[in-house]
Amino acid sequence: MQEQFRIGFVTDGGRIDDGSFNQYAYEGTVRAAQEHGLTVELIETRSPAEYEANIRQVIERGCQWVVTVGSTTGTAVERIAARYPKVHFVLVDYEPLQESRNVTGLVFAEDQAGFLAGALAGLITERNVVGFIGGMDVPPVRKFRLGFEHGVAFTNRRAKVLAVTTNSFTDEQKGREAADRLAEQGADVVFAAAGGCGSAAIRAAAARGVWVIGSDQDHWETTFRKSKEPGADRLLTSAVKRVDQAVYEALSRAVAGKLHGGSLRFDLHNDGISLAPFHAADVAVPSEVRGKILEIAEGLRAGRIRTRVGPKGEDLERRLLAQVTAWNWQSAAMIFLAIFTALVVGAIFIATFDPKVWAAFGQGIGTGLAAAGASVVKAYGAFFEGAFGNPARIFTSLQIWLETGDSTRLLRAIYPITEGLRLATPYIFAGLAVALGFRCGLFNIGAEGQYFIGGLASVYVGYAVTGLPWFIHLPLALAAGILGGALWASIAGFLKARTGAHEVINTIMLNYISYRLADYLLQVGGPMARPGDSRPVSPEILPTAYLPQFFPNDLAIRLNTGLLLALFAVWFVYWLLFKTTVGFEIRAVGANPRAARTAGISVARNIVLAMALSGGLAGLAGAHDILGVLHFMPNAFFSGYGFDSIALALLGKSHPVGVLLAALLFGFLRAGAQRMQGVAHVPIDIISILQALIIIFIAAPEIIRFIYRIRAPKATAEMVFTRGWGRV
Amino acid sequence: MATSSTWERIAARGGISPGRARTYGFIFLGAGLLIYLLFARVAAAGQASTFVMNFGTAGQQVPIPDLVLPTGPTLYALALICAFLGGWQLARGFRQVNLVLGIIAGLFVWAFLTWASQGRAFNLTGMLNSALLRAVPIALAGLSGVICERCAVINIGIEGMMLTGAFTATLMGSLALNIWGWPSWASMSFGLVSALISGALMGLLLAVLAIRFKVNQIIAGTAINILAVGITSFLSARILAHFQQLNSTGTLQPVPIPLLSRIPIIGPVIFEQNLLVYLLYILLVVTHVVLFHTRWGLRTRAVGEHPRAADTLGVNVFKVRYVNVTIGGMVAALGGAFLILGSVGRFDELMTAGKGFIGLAAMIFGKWMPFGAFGAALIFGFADALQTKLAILQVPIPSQFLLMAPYLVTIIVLAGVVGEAVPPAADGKPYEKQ
Repeated sequence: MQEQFRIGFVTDGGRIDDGSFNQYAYEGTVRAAQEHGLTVELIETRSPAEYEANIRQVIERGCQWVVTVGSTTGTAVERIAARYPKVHFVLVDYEPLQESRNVTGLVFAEDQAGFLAGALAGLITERNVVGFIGGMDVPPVRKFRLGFEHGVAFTNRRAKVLAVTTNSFTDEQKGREAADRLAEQGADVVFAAAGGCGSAAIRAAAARGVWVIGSDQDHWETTFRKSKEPGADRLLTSAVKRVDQAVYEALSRAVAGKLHGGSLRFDLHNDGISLAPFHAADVAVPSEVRGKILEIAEGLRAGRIRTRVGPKGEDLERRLLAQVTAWNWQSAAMIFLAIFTALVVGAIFIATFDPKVWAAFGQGIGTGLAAAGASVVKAYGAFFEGAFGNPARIFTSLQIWLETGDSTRLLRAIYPITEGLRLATPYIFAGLAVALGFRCGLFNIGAEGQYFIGGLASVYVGYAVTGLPWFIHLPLALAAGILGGALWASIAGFLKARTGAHEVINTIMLNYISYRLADYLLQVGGPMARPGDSRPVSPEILPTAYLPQFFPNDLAIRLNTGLLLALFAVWFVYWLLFKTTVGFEIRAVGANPRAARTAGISVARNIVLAMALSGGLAGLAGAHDILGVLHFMPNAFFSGYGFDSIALALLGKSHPVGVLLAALLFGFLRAGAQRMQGVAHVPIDIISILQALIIIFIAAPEIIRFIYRIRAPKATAEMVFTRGWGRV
Repeated sequence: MATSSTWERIAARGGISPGRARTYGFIFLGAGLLIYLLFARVAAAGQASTFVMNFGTAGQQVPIPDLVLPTGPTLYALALICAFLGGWQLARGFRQVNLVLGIIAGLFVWAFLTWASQGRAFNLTGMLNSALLRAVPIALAGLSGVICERCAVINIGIEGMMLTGAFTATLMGSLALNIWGWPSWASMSFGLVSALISGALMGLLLAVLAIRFKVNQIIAGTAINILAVGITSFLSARILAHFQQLNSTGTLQPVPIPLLSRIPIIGPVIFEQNLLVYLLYILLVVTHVVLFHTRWGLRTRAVGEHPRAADTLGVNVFKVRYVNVTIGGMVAALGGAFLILGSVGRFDELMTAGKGFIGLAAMIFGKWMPFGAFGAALIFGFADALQTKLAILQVPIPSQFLLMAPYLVTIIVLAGVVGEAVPPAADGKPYEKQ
């Protein structure tokens, strides 16, 4: 029996000839129907309340396939789809939220369309100012915007993108206002992705003589009605989503029984998106610009050029500036409050466990409280003086230096600050190490062991290799430190990539092994022990391997040029992560290993690489302490870098600049804590308590918000740190 | 040598890939070769290795004679057996290839001990006893991991919870014993209960962070570790360093179980231990029974595998997780308390030395089963005990390398086994109610 198949088509509230998604989706539906001999049941929806009823109605008329424009109806469809397992729903421009075999979303690579539009805008603009008008902050618009921004940056580094959100897809007045504002700010190319609101915007902009680019469909046909509307000659092109093509493709698959739910992606590769013809603007686009655009389209199609926009509209290439602004005041305040709260809890600890305070409470509550206060003031007083020096002393010694030129006292006075910077230097390396791991989804707790191995390697080169000038010996010793740490860490990386053994446990095991190894090598009479010494220490390194001091006149000041090296490392990690393909792949693996693998990125290779880089940085921390500060290797266990560096990476949100700031904070914290231990006899372990509390408060900001009654911000993107056991 | 099609047959027999089947064969052969090169070749002729089989209170068990083996011939025999097993694997293939791997490992250890004890007496039973004692804290840590992860909460903070438990047991036990003058048993019980409370609090902290605040569980666990290190070291420097009488609890004495402790060899190893070891046995059985034979266990496992489905069926996912993680914290703290009350009687900073993490490895090795974790812990305990015994035998291997053994074993075990070990499906994922 020949069964007559039917396709149901329900509009999203717009009319079937709206010149936009409904019209094109319908055209695709009709084309598929004609080709495969099907019939189409059409219902135009009048109000959002009717969606469900209309969809039911077409199903009752016997439709096996239902096509709707999903950006508005998607959630309604997903709600009822389970009730009609034999009907397959095709949702245009919608990514299904849950996996279901009878709902297929058609999604488009808006980022590629936006990228092409941006590349063109960047080449056409004369004033180097281009504008973007977005309807709402939803994924398709975000992808258009980011693609556009990255496309502009691709062809024109100097051009600035002004982005406006109208918060509406329909309000024409808002569109016109946005266009006027951009034109007044000097934009000479405007790209609008805001539905009807955007159409009004480009009409208004064109009227002011600005080049305009439309989105979704060819606006030559719709907004400017084939030049019947004024300003049509200013329409440069449109970033088109081939909705008709996509619906046709999806329905053809459905007929062939090859539609199984999930989402179908349409991009340059399968002609799902394109740039519309230039039409009347044809004469204004020079041939080299055309060539360039074709070249870029080809590059995007082949994957040589990436738009660096994630599937949900995540920016994968945020510029430093954008990141610092994204690192907004709210999160800065949260970090400040986290540190402050940790200090308050620390104060309670200090006061509670001070024997003097107990004694004072024996004499009465008042005396006790006073003693508790005094205890905290004394401790934190020493703490801040140890961290930042004594301002009065710095001031007077500065005067002496200015008057007499004698810097001895000034150097003494600023000693705490230099000490803080000196202590911050290895923290910078170690924090970067963990942050880099986090970016790849790896949790490197082994910075501690990598620090030891790096130190051992550099101390060996430092004393055993002789007869070299400093400019060869020093880099060699540093390289040994990097290599040592990198090799040590890549053991865990390799095991993770190869067998799925979790790096958290393996790096901790490697830490303990590195302690024993150091113990063996440095024990009296051991292979790396100092001959004739009764302590388990290595020989002194040669002066040619020293990291030069900043103040050679005052050897008490241990601050050395390692700090410059650390600042360089901050830049390097930033550059690597955000400016190179290597970094992009590392982050892609960190964000979603499965997706990265699908995209042809080797997950295993990136895990080993990220782990090695991470270990190399941790090894540099060890090399710094050996070559810059100690000049020999003592056999000391538990430097604490392993745990500290985790706190640093968390505090700095895994961003190199953030890590730098956090490392400075910790350097001063430690400098302060050392003095606090010396002066106020507070055990230095208070630092671990503070660090744990800071991690908890930053990882669970709700606690801080609860304490200080701060309202939660809107949902923000979550950072991927690490996953559970087993294979990636 | 076999042809490629035979390789496939051999591999299919063991249920592994052809490359892996070949590697296994070469590992077996290599073990034989190593026994020959390292031990048999260098063993002096005419020596004998003596394994003492009696341990503990003399006269309480049936004495059995020492096992005296001629060193050289024994080693050659062991090498040949390994080589034969390797050849068999390459030519025919074993069905239970992992079991054979275990046997090879056992033979290798036997060869090593034979070589190490040549011309001397080695107390094998004492060694096993020591291995069990060292396995107890690791097993408790692993058990804590099982309890937490069966309901899908990863507990990296076990190390910190053990440290807290150890500190609390020391402080409270010593306080009761030396300041309040309680009898020994009462102050130890007091220390134990206090440790359990501290563990419950730490577990609750992890639960609140992971469940209520949805903090990444590995980060929450790390924070707990750092916090525990900070608090115990701070208080140790502030209190224990100044008041030595607060850092001395005394230790539990072995209590032989009548009859059972008289069984040769295993009697004194298993049934002549202190009460906390017996508590471990009980906990293992109870956890196993609860997990696999009660409604609560079913719910726990359901929450670990598919929390949404469990929720749909009316299981309170959050309650299950809170309760399990809190109990997990208590079990971890018990492990810490064992280090004090069952072992050394005084607290030292960072004394857990990675046992919590090794316990996690034991949990994975034991495939998230209570007795599996215990079995794995025994291997770690054996590796740990071996290094002290070998130091006594004056084996010419630096002690530091022997000390690395438990950590190396952990890495090897994780690398070799985790690929086949499947964690609870929802492990590590926070649950959000819809």
